[in-house]
Amino acid sequence: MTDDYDLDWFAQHRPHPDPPSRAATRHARSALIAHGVGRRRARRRAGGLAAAGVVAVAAVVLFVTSGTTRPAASPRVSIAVAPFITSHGTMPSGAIAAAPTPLMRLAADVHRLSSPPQPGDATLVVRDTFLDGQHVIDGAVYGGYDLYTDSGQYYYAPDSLAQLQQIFDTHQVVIDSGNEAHRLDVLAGAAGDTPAQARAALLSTEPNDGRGPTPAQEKAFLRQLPPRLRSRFEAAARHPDLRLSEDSEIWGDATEALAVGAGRPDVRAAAIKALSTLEGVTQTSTRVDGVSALKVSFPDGNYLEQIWLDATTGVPIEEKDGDNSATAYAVERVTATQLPAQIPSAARLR
Amino acid sequence: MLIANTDTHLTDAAIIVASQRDPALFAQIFDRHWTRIHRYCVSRAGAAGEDIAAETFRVALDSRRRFDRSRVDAGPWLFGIATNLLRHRLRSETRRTRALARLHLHDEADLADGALDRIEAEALGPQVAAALAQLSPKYRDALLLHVWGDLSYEQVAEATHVSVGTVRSRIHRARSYVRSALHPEEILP
Repeated sequence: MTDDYDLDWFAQHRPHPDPPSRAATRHARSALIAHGVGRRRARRRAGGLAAAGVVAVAAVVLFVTSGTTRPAASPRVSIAVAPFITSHGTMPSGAIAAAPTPLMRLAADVHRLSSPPQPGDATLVVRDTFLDGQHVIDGAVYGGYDLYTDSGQYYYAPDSLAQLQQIFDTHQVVIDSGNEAHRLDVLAGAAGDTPAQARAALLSTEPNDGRGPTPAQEKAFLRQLPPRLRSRFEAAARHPDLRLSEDSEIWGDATEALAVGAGRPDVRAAAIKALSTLEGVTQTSTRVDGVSALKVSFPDGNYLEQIWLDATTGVPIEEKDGDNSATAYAVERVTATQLPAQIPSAARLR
Repeated sequence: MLIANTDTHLTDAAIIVASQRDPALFAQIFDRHWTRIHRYCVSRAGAAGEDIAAETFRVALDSRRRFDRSRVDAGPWLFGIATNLLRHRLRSETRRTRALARLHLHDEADLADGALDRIEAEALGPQVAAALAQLSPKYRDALLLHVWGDLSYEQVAEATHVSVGTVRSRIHRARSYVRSALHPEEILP
């Protein structure tokens, strides 16, 4: 169990801004009420147009749903076959290579897709997050449109493909993708390796190969603490386990790589191999919306993480964590300078 | 006092449901949560956070029909909205900074410093902030919602629409990463 002293430290370093002034509070409160009441009045004034408005909204929703071919909200229709459960204790090097699990067979199939080279120069991923079956919108889009160029740049648009095209054309690169680009390249290099090697490659992208802080790093961290907290930390540092389990690291990194690197078969093959090394991972052949899929489940502590992969291409179809949160993916290879207006279902990778 | 208008016997959910007929009632949600949301937003975005806090309530008002009525406390929902708005703000800030850089008004070194990064760097110290900045936003958000927003793991899960297990994993990972990513040779004498 990890000690919580470092959380205390983070909390102590919280900025302590002045409380909101009375004037700012009154202004924000008044503006909020005016906004709410104003919208209500506006709706009343527009009452005669309400029916037409509903039709218009329905049309927009229909366009978005069919135009981007986003996967339907859960529950999905699935037919499961008997699961294959991996249980191998600590991972001996190459041990899983001899066991033709569904994940291993899929990884081999996906690796063969690496040639000939994929068309286009980028991968487009449309993500939709659903909560209790509803598309979550509060405040901002959950999901959106991701563009990963083969040269390692990442672009994001919350609302539409047209917006994404404009963002790409004006070079508005999201800058925090360096770690992911590095991880994808490392994984791609391990596509033809054994599962144990793919696992090691993935861990190598974590600090200290996923082993957590070194004693020197721990000492450096302690030196930054206020003296009052330092002694408490030092006492705690003698026996805390600051690491997640390696399997948790692998699950998080591999599933993220499957989404971010969805357009690269070599990345997918290595990530799938790494997943196959997880203790207790369950692999179940199934169908999702008529597509053959492999459902991969991983019990992480008391929680069950799940991802559905296309059984032919390994492209992620949907990811679920917990009981009511799910993210659906639609993936396509594209040319970044000429993004499609929509994603035709026949052209999707999965 | 503004708080005097709040009917403390009603749950947030009850007020939000009632506000669907009378939007002015939503001011009671504002009264209950404004100070915490304001502090969180200003902590992460400086002075700009005040506008983001106000925008959080406007967005919440507009989307109140989607509030999960089984939730008694609207706090996590509001923190989730605020976190999304903060992320959008960071993206806008980054774009603006890049545009200025192209006009040679800023150094290249400034590019990595969005508003949120700067504020967090001042609060946490440059090494820890730099390590934290290497994390995906979802890890950083989970950690700061927990320790700066004072949300429990369950509430962070509610705010960010993931399982408690995922929150646990993200916070644990953020903490481990921050410690691991420090370069002792740059800090130790």
